[in-house]
Amino acid sequence: MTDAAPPPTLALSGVTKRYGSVTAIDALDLTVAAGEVLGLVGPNGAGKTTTLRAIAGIVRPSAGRIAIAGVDLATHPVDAKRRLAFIPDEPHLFDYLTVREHCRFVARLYDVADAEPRIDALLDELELGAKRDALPGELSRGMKQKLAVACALLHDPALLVLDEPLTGLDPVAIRRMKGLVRALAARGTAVILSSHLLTLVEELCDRVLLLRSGRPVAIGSLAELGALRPEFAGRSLEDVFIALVGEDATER
Amino acid sequence: MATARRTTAARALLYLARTQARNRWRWRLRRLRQPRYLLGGVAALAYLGWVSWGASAGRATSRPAALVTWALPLTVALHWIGRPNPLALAFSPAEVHFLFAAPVTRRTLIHARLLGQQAASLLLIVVWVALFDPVTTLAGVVPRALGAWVLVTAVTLHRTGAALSLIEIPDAPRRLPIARTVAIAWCCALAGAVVYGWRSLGPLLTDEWGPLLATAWRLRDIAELPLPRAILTPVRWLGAPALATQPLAALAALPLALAVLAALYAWVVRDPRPFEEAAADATRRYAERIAAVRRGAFRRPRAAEGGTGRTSRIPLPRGGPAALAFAWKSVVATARAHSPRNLALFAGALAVGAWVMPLISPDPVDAAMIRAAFVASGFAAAFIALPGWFRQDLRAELGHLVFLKTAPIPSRDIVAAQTATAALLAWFALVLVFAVPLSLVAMGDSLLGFRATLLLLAEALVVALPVLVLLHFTVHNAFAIVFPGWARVGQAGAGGLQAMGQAYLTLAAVLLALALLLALPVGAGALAALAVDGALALAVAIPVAALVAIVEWWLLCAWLGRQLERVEPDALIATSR
Repeated sequence: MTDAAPPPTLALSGVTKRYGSVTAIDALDLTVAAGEVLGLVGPNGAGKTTTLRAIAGIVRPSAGRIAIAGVDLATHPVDAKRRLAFIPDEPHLFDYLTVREHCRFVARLYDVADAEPRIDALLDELELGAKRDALPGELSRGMKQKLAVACALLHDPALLVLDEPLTGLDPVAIRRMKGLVRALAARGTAVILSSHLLTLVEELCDRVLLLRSGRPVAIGSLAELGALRPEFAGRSLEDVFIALVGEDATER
Repeated sequence: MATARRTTAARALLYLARTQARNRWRWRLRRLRQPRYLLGGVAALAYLGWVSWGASAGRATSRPAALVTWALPLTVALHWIGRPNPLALAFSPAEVHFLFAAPVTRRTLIHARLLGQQAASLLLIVVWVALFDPVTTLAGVVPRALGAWVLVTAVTLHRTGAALSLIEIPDAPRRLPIARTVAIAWCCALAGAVVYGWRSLGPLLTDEWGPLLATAWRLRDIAELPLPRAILTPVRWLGAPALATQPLAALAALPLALAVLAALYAWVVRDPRPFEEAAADATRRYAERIAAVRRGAFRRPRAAEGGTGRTSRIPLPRGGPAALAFAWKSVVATARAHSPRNLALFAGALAVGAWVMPLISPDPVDAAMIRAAFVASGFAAAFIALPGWFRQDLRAELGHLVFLKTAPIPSRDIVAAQTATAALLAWFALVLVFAVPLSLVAMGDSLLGFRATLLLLAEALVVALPVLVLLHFTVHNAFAIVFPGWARVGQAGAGGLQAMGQAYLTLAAVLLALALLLALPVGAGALAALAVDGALALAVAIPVAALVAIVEWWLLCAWLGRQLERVEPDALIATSR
């Protein structure tokens, strides 16, 4: 007798989101395993942010089921959310909490044991140590993004959801962020990120999901996408993206 | 497990509220080191002291009981009749970021929302205490401040609860509209009781008070009749501590008020529907609205149909000076930032006010005086406040200083185009809004007669007012360029008493500068009037004064253009913090 395989860290089955007559996500099936990095790409309005917000529990799907580490998000939202962290494209911070206080607040929210040393280590790792007593008004865009990342990592989530994670970061911070995502994946965290930077997705992600008008156009590793059509062989993700999604869609 | 989770979330929310409040006060105290905030703080405290002292000196023995008694049912009716207000569910963007994806229950989210509203409630309570409990002992203030807190929190809770019940939640099953049915039934019962009470008290006597005041007294009497009194029981219980004239009476009334508040609270948090998506959407819309108002726009730009760009119906002339492009841009921006409906509503409200206010007095002469005073004070207030509402001028462009400084147009022309366009648009709005009320005043003028008063008013509106508005706007823009730290108080994070005081000081300085600028035109107009003398004196004085004022404005534009060239973009950012 063998043990049952653990559930995937993220499982979406038939997830649909409609806004009136507009379908933002159309019957999306998806799984992301522990330690896997999945890239979500698509033109503007393809449904990337809606998908990420549905996974984070902010948007309620019209149909379908989302499970995080086997826990149903609709029926057990609190337990499911305990296992995930969501970083939106624009970090919104509390005007009157310092960097360290943001971390302390999140640590309390997620009931993180022995939070102080962890906060110090994370702030140092993200080069925010010198700014720990600064208010958000005193931080650059990149620093705010780093603070959002620090807050997201405090409770050691099983699933990290990143919407345009590199916006506003300088080259050094971009490299550091990429290293961080790789390290998290190596530790077993599942990561799902959306980005328009296709080179980043190509470099970081194990698999890519191409969305167009809320529908999955293709999913797989770069090699698997390359095998979809003979002319894709050896081509970059950008070439595949343009061919599959179409230049006209990016202009909409 | 669930209890431990609730405790963890509650501790986190309390930590957030406590730490934010502490840091806010620390930050505001620390910025008192800057003279502009120190002066602003002193001015604000002086103003509050003056209001409090004024209230104390002229305080009536009774509190506004009738107002509260009827304002609360009106609030209930407004919350339940018509479309729900999704903005009642707006959180802060940071709350959406950190709380909505966090492992907390919907009930905790509602608690976060209610806790966040306490800061605003505190301000209302301070105003209430300043108005009704000034310069008294702490023991005297506390019970009634608690009463004011109960009243404000009850309204907030009710608004949140109504929004939660009425809001359309995508993909969630509909519920029976029990709360709405109960609320509307209560409102209908109250309306029926008012009609019954009105009729039972006999015809309205208007000999002593005039119809308006007589109606107010009648409503006060109706609230004391057995049937309306019974229907108004929860309202009376809620308002009793805040309205009590003695601290002990306020204390004695607190338990019943708290019981009503507890019932409201239990209803709001009982079983919240999945409101997160609607709340996140409301938060985004509210943030957009706030940003738009800070830019001087009073409506959110609507999404273009089908994703296509919208085309303005206002054409940009092909020829003419380059500065015309700035004027065109201001006109287009104004058309998109301000709703004609709001203007029409404002004009309608003023016209109704000008018609209704004289009903305070039964004497026709007094009534005409009341109307003239009402319209004049409204006009003065609108004139003073207009540049604060209408900001589609150089002040809106200071954020794009790099663009302004690189545009191949003399800075003087930019200043002139921006201020003249904004002033013309503002003047047009002012004339539209006050045309009917001023005509009503002219009709009641027995001194010069209707025709003469109307002609003089028309000349003042068409010749003097545009120039006056032009100078007013130019002075506001001058302050924004020369003293950006004083003028740009509407920036995010610049709130608080100090910013309020700073705004008052700036306004006082602007009005003083305007008065100084008007000295020469008024002098010239007076000389012209003396030269002509007789019936045409005023008719001649107004154009002469306007002409001198236009020359002044042009010289001011030339000077401001030079100042604009000297301003560094970084300096604007630094001083606006």
